[in-house]
Amino acid sequence: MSRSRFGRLHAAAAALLVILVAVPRPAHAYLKFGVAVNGRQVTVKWNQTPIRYYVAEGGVPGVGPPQLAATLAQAFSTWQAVPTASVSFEFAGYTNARPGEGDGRSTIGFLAEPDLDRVLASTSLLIDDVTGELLEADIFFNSVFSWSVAPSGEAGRFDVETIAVHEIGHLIGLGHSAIGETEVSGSGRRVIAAETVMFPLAFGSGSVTNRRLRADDIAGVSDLYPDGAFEADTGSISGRVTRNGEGLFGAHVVAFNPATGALVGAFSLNAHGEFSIAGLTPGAHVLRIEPLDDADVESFFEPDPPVEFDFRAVFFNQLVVAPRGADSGSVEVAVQPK
Amino acid sequence: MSRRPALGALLLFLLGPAAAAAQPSDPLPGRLELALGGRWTGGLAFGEAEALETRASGGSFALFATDTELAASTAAEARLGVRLFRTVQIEASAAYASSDLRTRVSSDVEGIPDVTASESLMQFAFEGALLAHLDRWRLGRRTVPFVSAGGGFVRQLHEGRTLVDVAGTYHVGAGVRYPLATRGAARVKAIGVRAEVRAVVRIGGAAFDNRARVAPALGASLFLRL
Repeated sequence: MSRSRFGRLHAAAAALLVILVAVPRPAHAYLKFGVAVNGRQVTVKWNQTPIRYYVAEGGVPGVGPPQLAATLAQAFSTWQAVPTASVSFEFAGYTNARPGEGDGRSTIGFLAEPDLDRVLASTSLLIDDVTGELLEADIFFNSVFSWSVAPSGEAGRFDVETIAVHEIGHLIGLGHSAIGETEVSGSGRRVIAAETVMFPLAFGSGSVTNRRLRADDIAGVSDLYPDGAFEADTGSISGRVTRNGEGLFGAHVVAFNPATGALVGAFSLNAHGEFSIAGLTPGAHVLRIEPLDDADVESFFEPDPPVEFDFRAVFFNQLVVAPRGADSGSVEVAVQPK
Repeated sequence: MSRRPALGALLLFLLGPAAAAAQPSDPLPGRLELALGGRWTGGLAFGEAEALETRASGGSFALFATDTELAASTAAEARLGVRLFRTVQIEASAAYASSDLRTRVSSDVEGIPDVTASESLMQFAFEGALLAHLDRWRLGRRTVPFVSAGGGFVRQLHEGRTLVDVAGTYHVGAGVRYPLATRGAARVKAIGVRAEVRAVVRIGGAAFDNRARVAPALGASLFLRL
């Protein structure tokens, strides 16, 4: 069996959570990790559950191993509780191994990474690059920051559970989602609001808002690990984003369901500008298309092919229906240069 | 006067034996009625919804706003009526209309120009109704007013025929019927026109909730009585 290690990247953005090398898969919503196998994209996911994880010994002020384990259990249960997904987790015990050692055990703990002064936490994945099966996923929380496990959060300290919920999203195979708004703040960006826990930038210290999954996250985990009638009960919208008749890579497409208020996002993921948003509640949706300009593009895609930014954000002038258990059929959204 | 005699008087009025005696002739002879016509139904407001993100504090941040309506539509309608009594008739009808579901998108946080996104909706309505002629209140010799009430369902087929919603529909209405010709001994005993106004109540379907919504409707039809 051939194995390859996905490396970690750390970009200079304020309170950046995690960036993983992700080969986008031109098939579905959110951003699922994928690997190219014989010219085709294979989704990266765990083939067996429960996913066993170990908690590293050692802690930070206020968060010892037992507190970390308890908080992680809560964060894992948040994903496990999604009724339309079938992913489960199991605490396997404490270990003196460090996260990122590639020992076949998924290890979660604190590491001091002072050079990564804008990285709160990071997830590294060990993947079978033939099958796409996830073999190991390690998460480290950067102990150069101040951390808290207080039930309601703590001013000046980052909430372990909030960040863990995000990292566990990566652990199960989800990339970043772009449903969020930011503004330039100093040398970085500040998050104004987001509607996904998988937004690449974290809220400021003290916030516990993102302990809760949103529609985009639920669609993502359910798409990766569908349970029950999820596929039969939800629909997808697919299409192309074009400019002057040519496909655009990296356009951010968000579907809004006025009936439910749900926002679920995706990207155009190939040179044809094709996108697909799965896991949608059946019904009519508004489509909003925008350049990927609210976070560093490297937190979503590899540099090649280049992501297109030179177009104006638009709403599609048709309501697009996500059918129950089926796809909308391709719609073409033409955008204009800036 | 007690309530019971008053109710009895009302029933007699609707069923009409006394009224029949007071009128010179039956303006709507025949037991069966076939009709074809059209019906305009006003738009239904489905309501406003904001695309909300969550702030660090947990508060809401509006990305954009929407306001959705089912536009007014004109339906083609076929109807079968059966006379139960001299002034009371039951009816079954089927109607088809094409309408637009429209969502006005506005107030985008990044200044995207407002747009109205729409899709077409094919609507098939199947209804039953009870109709009572107000024979005593005839307008002239031949124009017969009536009141009606009924209900049924509407199958709403979204664009691309990929999704069906089903709405409940109920109505109360009133109108007039005017026989253009009556031939009591012939197979077709009467030909006439009917016009009516309704208050239509819709529940569910393509709407975003199961709240009852009311729209006006106007109808006209040509009928044959057999």
